[in-house]
Amino acid sequence: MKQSAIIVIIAAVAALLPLMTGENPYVLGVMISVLMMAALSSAWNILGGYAGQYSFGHAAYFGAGAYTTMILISTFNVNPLVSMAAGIIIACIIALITGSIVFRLRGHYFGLASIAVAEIVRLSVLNVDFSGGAQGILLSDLSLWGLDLNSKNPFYYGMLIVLVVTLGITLYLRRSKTGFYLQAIREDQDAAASLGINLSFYKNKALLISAALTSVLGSLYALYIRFIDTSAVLDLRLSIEIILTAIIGGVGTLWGPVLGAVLLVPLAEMLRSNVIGETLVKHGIVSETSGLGLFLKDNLAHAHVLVYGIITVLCILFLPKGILGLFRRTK
Amino acid sequence: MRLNTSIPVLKILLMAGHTFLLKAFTICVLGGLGSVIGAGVGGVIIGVVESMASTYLSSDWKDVVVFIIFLAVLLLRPQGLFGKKGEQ
Amino acid sequence: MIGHILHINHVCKNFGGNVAVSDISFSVDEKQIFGLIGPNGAGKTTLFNCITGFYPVTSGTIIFDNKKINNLRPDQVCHLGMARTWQRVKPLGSLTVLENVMIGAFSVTNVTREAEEIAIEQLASVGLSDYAAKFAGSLPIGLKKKLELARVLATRPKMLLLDEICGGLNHTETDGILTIIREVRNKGATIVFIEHDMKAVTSICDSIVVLNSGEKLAEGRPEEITKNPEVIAAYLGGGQNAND
Repeated sequence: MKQSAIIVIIAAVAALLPLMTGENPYVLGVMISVLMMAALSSAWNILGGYAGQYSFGHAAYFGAGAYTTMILISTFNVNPLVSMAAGIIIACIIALITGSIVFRLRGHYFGLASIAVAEIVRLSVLNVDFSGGAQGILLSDLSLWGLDLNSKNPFYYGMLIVLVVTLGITLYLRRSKTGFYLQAIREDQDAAASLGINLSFYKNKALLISAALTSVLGSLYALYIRFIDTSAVLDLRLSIEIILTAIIGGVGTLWGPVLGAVLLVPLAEMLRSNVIGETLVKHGIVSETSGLGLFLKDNLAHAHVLVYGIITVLCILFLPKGILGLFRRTK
Repeated sequence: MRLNTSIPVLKILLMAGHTFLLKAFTICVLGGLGSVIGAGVGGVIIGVVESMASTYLSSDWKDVVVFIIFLAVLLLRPQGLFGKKGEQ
Repeated sequence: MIGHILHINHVCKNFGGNVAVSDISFSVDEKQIFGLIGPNGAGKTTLFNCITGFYPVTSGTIIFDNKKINNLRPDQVCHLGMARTWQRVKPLGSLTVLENVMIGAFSVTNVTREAEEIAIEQLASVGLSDYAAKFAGSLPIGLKKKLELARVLATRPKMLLLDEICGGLNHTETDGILTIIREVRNKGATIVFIEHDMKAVTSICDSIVVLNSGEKLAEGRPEEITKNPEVIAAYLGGGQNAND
């Protein structure tokens, strides 16, 4: 299949990028964020884009991976890889509970139920001392196989590997019975059931795969940043950002979520670090001391969510299938 | 003037909206979607449950109790108290 | 001796206080082409939905191929060999015609390659091969109905329930569908038809049951039914002429 060749080529290019950016850790950090969001949105896409089930609480799985990993390593000194596996198990348990409650119902309960589950997880973690409460968990020391885990490089490649695996799984599913069944469920659940598709089973399958991948990303994030708290890994904002990235890039396509991340994460970063404001000043478009200049300087940094929202509204109005939706086959 | 501490005192947070949305939906599902009486009864039930939870557990957990009720309704009686059974 | 493949025993279906189907009983023989007719609102589609697992019956039993199928899910009913089409067609719009039929084929195989072969075969049998790569949503209604037929045939059913498959079709298209139906029966399947088009029904059915307001009004061979005064009255009362 041609698509798998494309994945390999792009992965190879991505693998070489850190060498090309020289020694700039800031750029590497942004690239890691891009890869992570691309992988998160792609994992979400398996459930949302292909099965048509929009989860608004995917942060629960990200946080499950992050917190399980952190707690096991910092309190019990468990090996990081084993901790990651444990994170996957916890995330899958949460997914199964959610799925078995909601997927047998007719009607659009899944979105809100997923928020409820995510909030239950967040509030529970917040209110329990064991998980660090509002202070979060800090990891001071980390080693694995002698790899230098204080640098960014291993995490760049870790995120890249998860992204490639996610895209590979998506590609495999698309051509398999499961993938066909998920798309049938998305298109028309009654028709799907009448053709022999067990709706609950397949929705749960997609959810479990998506949750497991998301959990691994959460674990990697925890090891990378070495500090987590509920507002970083269990927040509704994260769940929404994942969805918006997928929507803007193109829900239900292979590369849509990746494209969304490549466009939006650097944009958010530029807003956050005032690059846009400073560029406008540098080129004399806006004077630093004018009213507009000061306004931009103070407020643009916080505007990335607003900008995401505006882009999403524009997308829904003009590009309902996202950017890649424009290029979908129109026969 | 003494502040009545049984009234929820809320900080104005821009991102607090989703909690209200979820509670409103819990009330509707508990009462039965499509039933106005149900929404009223559900509202009273949830209000009482929330107050009791914040007294007997702690105010940190009151939202968790409401969200667990939401999931429990979906699990045990998805049509709610006053909704029609076997819809469609 | 040909046996009964489907028994409907005293089936009732209520929605709250509303009685949609009341004490319906009839049997369908293997390899029969069986018609279920009646004015609008008689309960025909409701009965179909009960039989195929989309509605739970309020009371009564449904026996298919010697198994009680009352409380099964629709996908379980499909795997037992009963497939259905929809009054308002349900093409899987963003998928191609071929992929639509493959979904049906996947109920008898797990291998994508095999599903594709079965699908190609079924598309040929209904004459849709030229449209294989087109999006199902883009087809005109006549072809969407053919697609739906090809899709259920790919599930290799023992029994087909067709809900107004000739609805919205012109005479040529209707004849085409009926020819395919006869072939399907000759290969060993049983067919139950809901249909408004009386000409189609009388020309092809071996036996007919007439429903009116949720109750069984009459049962018998087409010649008997078209002459039955109660049937004619029911259709005229509902604004339809039985001798259309």
